[in-house]
Amino acid sequence: MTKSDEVQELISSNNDLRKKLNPANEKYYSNLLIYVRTAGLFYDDYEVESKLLEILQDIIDAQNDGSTAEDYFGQAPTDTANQLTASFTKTSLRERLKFFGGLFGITAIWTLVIQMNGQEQQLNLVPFVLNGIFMMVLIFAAFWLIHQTIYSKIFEHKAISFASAWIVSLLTVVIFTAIQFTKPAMFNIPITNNLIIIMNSLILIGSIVALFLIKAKWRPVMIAAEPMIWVIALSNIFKVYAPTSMSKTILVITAILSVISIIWFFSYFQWNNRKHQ
Amino acid sequence: MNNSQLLKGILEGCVLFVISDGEIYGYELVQKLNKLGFTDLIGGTVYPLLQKLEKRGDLSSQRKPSSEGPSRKYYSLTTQGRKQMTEFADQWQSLELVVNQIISRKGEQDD
Repeated sequence: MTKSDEVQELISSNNDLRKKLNPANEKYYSNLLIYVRTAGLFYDDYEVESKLLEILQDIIDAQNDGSTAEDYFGQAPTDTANQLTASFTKTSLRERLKFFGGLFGITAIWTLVIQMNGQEQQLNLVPFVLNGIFMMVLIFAAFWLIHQTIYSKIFEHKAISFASAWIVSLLTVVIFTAIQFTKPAMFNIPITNNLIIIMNSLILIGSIVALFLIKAKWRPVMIAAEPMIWVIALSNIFKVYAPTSMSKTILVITAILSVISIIWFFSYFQWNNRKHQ
Repeated sequence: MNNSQLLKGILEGCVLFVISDGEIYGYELVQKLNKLGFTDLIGGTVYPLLQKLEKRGDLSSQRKPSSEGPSRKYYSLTTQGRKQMTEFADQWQSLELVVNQIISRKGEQDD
């Protein structure tokens, strides 16, 4: 069993065991879990998950003996969590570079697909860089925000937490859209039809191969995103071959399939999350 | 007793002693310490301590199959931990002697 499989096993045991907690203890423990998991991106996963499962098993014992999670673990869970995270082993520089590389790789493929979907037969390098940087900032910001607000009383109000989630999502979409239009002419690279076909075919094959090679932890993200990649890549290929009279039909079919794949993306995520709760 | 720095140092030694009885998991350890007199002690104090002792090499841990649900993390004392435990006992005994002497001297002066 690889270390990543072991981590996966700890996480799924944790998901199963959490169901044994009563509502009050579940809330207490889930907050702690989120607080610890969002403390940083570069802690040793095995150590973090092993500690979280250990605490969960002990809280369940305490619950069986008639104590609450708060009685057992204390009124200052963040103090304990901060002490624990401060001593977690950090991942190596190699692991971190692998993470950033993977992130840039995925956003690069995604940027490529979007740019080839445009009418101009050229690529622009700037969105490749900006998308990668923004994605990184987004992930760090999301972790930081959740970590800071999980114990905040203000965000317990449903309306406030809903509104802030909307504002953040909207801002993300606006910035991402703006990036796609940031194309200074000096960074343009012309592409031929042949290149469009080769690259889109590679993306199609690559996305299927990646489905099998990707770490189990990230597989749901891949399954969710897969139809979106297929729809855009296939439409890019068809556009090259189809006669001009067909271009409108292709555009309409692409639009419909894109909407379906976006619905699939969110439905799959929701279904997958529910399965683990 | 309150949760002072002094207590933490002493608790460290006591944890080593309790674990020297045989391998044990977190909840069991907290229960035992509660029964032995650390009545206000909570899990939140013990986990960072176990983590510190394990990182220092005084304890080792192993996941073992449990009767209910997934495997559990059991702690046991290492050779280094055993040495630390003996050192703690020596330090405590000499400290106890000194502190007792000081306290009884004060008592005699008051009489």
